[in-house]
Amino acid sequence: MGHFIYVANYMKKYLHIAIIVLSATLISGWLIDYPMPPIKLEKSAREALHQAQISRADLFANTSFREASTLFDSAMVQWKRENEKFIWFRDYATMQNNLEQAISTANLSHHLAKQEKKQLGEKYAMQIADIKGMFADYERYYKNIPINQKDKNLLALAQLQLDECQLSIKNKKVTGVSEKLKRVKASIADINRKSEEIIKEYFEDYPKWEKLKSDAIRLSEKKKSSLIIVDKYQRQCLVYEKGVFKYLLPIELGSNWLGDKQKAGDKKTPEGVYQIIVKKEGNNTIYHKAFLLDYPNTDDLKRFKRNIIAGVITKNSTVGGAIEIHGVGGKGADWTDGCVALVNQDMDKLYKNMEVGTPVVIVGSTKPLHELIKL
Amino acid sequence: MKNQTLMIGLIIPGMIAFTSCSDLPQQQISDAEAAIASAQSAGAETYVPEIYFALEDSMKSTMSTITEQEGKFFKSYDESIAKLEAVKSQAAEVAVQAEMKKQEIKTNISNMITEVKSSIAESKQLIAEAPKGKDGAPALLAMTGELDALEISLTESNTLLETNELQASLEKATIAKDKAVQINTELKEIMSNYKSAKI
Repeated sequence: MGHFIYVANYMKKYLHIAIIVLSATLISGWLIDYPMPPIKLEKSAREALHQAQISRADLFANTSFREASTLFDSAMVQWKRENEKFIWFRDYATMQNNLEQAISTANLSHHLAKQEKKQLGEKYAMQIADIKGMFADYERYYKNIPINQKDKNLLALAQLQLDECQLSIKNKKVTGVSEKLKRVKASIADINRKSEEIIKEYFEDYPKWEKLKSDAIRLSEKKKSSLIIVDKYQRQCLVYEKGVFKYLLPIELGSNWLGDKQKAGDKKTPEGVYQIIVKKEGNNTIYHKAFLLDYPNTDDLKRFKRNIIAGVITKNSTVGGAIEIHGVGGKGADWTDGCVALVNQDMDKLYKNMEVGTPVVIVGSTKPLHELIKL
Repeated sequence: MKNQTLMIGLIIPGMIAFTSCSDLPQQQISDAEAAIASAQSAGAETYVPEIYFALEDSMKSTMSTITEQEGKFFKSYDESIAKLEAVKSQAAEVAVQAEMKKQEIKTNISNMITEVKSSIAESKQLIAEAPKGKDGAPALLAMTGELDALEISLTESNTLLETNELQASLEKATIAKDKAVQINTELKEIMSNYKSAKI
């Protein structure tokens, strides 16, 4: 304590001066304006950034959002720097300028994010509509074309992925959606393209079918007789009387219907000119009612022999037979081994009006491809 | 008198020195930042974005009050310390919410995957029971492509679940479930058509 008083006594001559200077500093600090940090502006900048973040400007207007964040951070750094200076020498002009720019840029990023989301929504809607159109084309034109299992799986997977994209967009989680939609589009485009190639190649036989049909109708008119024309592509059984079209009935075919029948078990419905040789009903058929056709005809047998020689089919193949028009159809798919199936009601109608000897002309199509498919 | 002046002369500067030298609450700042980092690691930004952004905003606001105090002659960080403690608690709560949300999604996904697997198995059984031969069920068989696609999708959903890409996994599982139900319903209808057609 004594030492302390000694030091205090030593300094006491300066003490009064110190007290006066300190008091003067404090009083002047109250009375004189010194530079103040722009606190309200800082708060506004924070709020603007927060709003931009809520609107996910970090995702949808990333450039301007990052710029706004950088400006704000710079302002905070400048604030700290100015704090290190003596109070009267502080200058917050640069900080203020940065905060003002941060606010305007954050507001811009918020606006851009909203715009981008709207535009993205519109863009995705267009892309999805385009892809759905392609799926619709498949359903309309190519659904019945037998494709391999790999493509069937791909088609099903593409449909699932399209649904996933729509769900992502609905949940506003759009990361990766663009790429996924591209892949889906590529898948369905590829399947449609392959199907189109298959069907175009098939329809190269159209001139032959057209002649078969015309000849048969002329004959029906000349003989004043009935005629059945089976249009495989459109899944229709067209009924003529005396050369005049009367009505059509929907049908189902063999699961591998595309193309002419080559051999037993290939599940193809044959193409050519046939006739009803037997009418079956009751215990004579398990298919409600049936018309047995005279497959194989002469042309079928010639083709079969040619294909054996050419090695298109194996030597132990048989040409097949028992091709009928029968009932028990309406299964919603091509299910027969090559026969033409109708629902029982329609088979009843045919059975009543058609006799043994009625010509049955089976063709790929009664219309040209350009009338059936928008190419 | 001189002693009194001496004491006043010592006390006033002493008080000034004491009050203007309040320490920056660095430990509390670090603790709050660590808590926010934990919330982010827990996936808060993905799974509970709104409250996570609110948390970030609270921290920014708190740091502003600290910076404001740093510029003052008479610093007081009491309010800032209280705010930092609040941010730390808020961050802990956000992390908990994020974990809960993640767990909810995971449970949802697992349940859906189980349901879809069961639905696929049932659909395959229906196809297996379909009549063979000419009366076979191509319409049913045509669905095998869709069932295969579902299985692929389910596997992808499971992989995404394992890699914690929960949102993508959930969306896949949701779509797979809807499709599985649709296929199952269609199969039953087709089977019913078969039976009535045979009659």
